[in-house]
Amino acid sequence: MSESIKIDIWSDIACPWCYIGKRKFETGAAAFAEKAGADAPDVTIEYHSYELAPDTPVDFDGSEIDFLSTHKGMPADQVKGMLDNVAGIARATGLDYNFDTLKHTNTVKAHQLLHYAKTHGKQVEAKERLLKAYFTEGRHVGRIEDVADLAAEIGLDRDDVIRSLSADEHLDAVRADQALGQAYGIQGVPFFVIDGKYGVSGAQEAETFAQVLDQVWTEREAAHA
Amino acid sequence: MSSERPTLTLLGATDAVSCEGDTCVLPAQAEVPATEKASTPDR
Repeated sequence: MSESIKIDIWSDIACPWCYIGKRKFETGAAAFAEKAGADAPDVTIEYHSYELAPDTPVDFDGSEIDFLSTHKGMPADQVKGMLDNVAGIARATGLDYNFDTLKHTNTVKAHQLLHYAKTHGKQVEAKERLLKAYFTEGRHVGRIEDVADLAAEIGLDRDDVIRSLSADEHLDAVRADQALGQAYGIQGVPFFVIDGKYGVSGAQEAETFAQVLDQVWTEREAAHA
Repeated sequence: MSSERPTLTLLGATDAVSCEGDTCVLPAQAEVPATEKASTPDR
């Protein structure tokens, strides 16, 4: 078994392409592992915080269509058409997006949960739980109590999560992620950094992710030969 | 945190969809579905 390939992923929760990109990456990584067979290296994933709209209020009284039409000054019908298109892409990727029930909110507490979960070895589970809650289940991911409920569902201590989020225990870690992302020149998410050397931007096709992993692995093996 | 930018070599397609600011679902990006569906036929 080779040394693992490290994937650092910058993304937000309120980011439809991040969830789609997550699925496509997972599919691509599985295809890479299958092709590489017994010699396949582990792929280690770490999520990093990126707030697309940090000025978003925690509680927005309205639908996603209301939010976008208000903030972008676009007709509601046009916004609905856009969201239908995105939901169609999600469906083709195996994801069920429900923009009718989505609760638009600020994601900084959700990002802090991701850092909390990382210290407990559950960051990947927390990321998936938050994305599914937001895009599929219409759950609130901005309020401390609601985020703690989701944390408890993946086995984290609800009371300790409330303590941590209330104290902004991991806010510095969120800001450090954002600073590193800025240093990398990341302007959009999802953004994947591989072994600290390669960057992959956006929700690429699964086949592309598989090819990139194969390229990185092949180059590394050649360098060690 | 150092402000020095690490150097990354970009891989993959250069036109993959992503979110920048709060413009995730603006029309230019939402045009992608037909291509996406065509390239993922067996989901």
